[in-house]
Amino acid sequence: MSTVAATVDNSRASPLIGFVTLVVILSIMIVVLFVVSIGAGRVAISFQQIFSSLRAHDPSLMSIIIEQIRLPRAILAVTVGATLGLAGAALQGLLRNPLAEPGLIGVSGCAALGAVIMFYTGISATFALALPLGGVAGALIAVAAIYALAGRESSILTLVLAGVAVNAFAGALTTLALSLSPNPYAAFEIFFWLLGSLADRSLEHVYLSLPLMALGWVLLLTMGRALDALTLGEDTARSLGFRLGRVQAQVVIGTALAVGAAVAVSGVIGFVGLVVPHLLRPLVRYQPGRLLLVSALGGAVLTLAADIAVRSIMGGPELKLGVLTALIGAPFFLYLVIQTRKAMR
Amino acid sequence: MTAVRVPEIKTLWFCSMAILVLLTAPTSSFAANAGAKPQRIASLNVCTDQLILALTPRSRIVSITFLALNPDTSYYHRKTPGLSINYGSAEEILAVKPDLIVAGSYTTSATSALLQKLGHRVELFDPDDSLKQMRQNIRRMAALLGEKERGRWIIKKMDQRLAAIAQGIKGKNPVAVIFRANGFTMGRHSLINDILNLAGFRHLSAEMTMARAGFLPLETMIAADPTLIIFGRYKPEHPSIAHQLLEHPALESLLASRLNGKKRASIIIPSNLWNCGGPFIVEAVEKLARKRKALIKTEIKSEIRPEIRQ
Repeated sequence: MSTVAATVDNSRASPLIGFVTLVVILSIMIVVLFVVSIGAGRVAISFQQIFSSLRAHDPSLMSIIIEQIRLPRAILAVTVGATLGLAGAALQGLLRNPLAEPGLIGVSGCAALGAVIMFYTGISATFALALPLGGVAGALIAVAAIYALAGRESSILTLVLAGVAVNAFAGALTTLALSLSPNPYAAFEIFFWLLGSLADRSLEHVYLSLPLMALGWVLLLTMGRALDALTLGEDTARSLGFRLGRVQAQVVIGTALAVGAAVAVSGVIGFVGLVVPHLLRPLVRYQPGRLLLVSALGGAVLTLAADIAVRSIMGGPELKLGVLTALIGAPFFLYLVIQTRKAMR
Repeated sequence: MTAVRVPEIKTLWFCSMAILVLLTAPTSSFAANAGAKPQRIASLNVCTDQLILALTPRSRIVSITFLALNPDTSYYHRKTPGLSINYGSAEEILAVKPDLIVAGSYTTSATSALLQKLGHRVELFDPDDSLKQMRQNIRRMAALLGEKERGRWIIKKMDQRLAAIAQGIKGKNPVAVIFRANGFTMGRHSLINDILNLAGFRHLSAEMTMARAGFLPLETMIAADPTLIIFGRYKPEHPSIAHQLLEHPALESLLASRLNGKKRASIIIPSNLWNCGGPFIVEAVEKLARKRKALIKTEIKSEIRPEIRQ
């Protein structure tokens, strides 16, 4: 656990910018990208049209496009991105493992499996909330399984390998569930579930996922002081009055709620929870507590930007969002593996 | 173990080849006198299925595709019970000893080539991508089956009904669009395009210079503002994200709006009425023409008494 020792030492180094400044900067970026996101798409829409539509609700074809297609997409980019960034930061704090990320350790994959079962069996058509709840159930099983397989003080390698196993199993079951559907389109939708997309989502998806995600955010964001204490070791944390079992349970349930609901409406968007906390960690003096909020904001920024890019890069059919995040995230992951290996020597 | 199994596989291979030769030997003689009416007709394509079911008695059909049984894809699905079916493989066709095999020129091409190689008479049909091609296919199939008279009668009946519909079409043509799962739509060179024109509609994707078929993004479709959106049949008990697009609230908002003083509507045309060509396409034209009449009627009403719309 030399990396943890290193992070504690580093906490004395002066950060480039203050915490509040960082939060403000990230928030401004979200607002700007949110507006750009609403402006991006197949049909050209001016910023004037966006503002007049959002302000006055004057009926026009453009306002149908803005309010019912672009707006839910931008909202979901923020909420799903925030969830992934926040969950990554929380899992890394709890497991004290720099490679913990909802996608890599299989939480997102299992959430997708839960949602797939609810959606393609037609259960969510009769009971809409079954979709995010299925995602939450899948995510909960995955976090529990990872925890059982890898444990708290496990090596980085064990955690990643456990993640590979859980991911492979969830992926196989998802493919099986999709193949069993009598709908001929279902089998092709494996791309949506494994690579994620926010295309043509509606406000219904926002309403379905937001309450559960928000509940998860509250559970995770209030973990700050406990995660800070954990960096000093479990015994110290205990002596400071934190009950370890409760801390673990809160992170596990918070992650499952937020990630489960997010994946149920967006599919698996990988690497956001890995890249964002790592980029922001030096800026918050390596304090896991402060990292939570800024990772949520940073996750929203990255996902908004990526979702704008998939609509702007290519002229033909839209890229899946997870393709882009993996293109950024996978090399980053390799870099982290190499760094971690160096630190361990 | 493996050393023992290899000859076993070899004998199996020889046996199956021998069976193949035996099976093909008698049918080759059938192919020789192709002038006579074929009595054992096999079809490898759902659209050739439709044509043989329309033109010839069931007793002369020995094999149709599994798709012919499905009401979603096949108009004549009620005529199929009891007929033996195939999934497009050569062995299924060989087993029923056909004297005429009809197939699509782009589907099951490996099977068609193999059957031809084995000495069978295989007739390939181009897809019905226009009314002209459809008439040509009906005539050619009728000639092949020795049912020229029935073919002529079917086309005559169809043209009479189409002429009757054409008489009722007056006024400016509204714009229609096909919007299927994932936003899949048909272009300028398609039977559906010609059918829409017959029913008195302009065709949105054709005017967007789409050639044969493609995907129409939801936003683009809404911005283009069609008057009529045409869906296929949808089974909510087997959902998919592709079909969920057809229930997108933005579509409902578009259909419900009276923007630009215009009424919009949607209609479901089952794909078995116009995915393949056949006399049944008249039903699709009739449904669309009726819808057009209703749309134009409300349009005129609202133009005369605008205060009613308030």
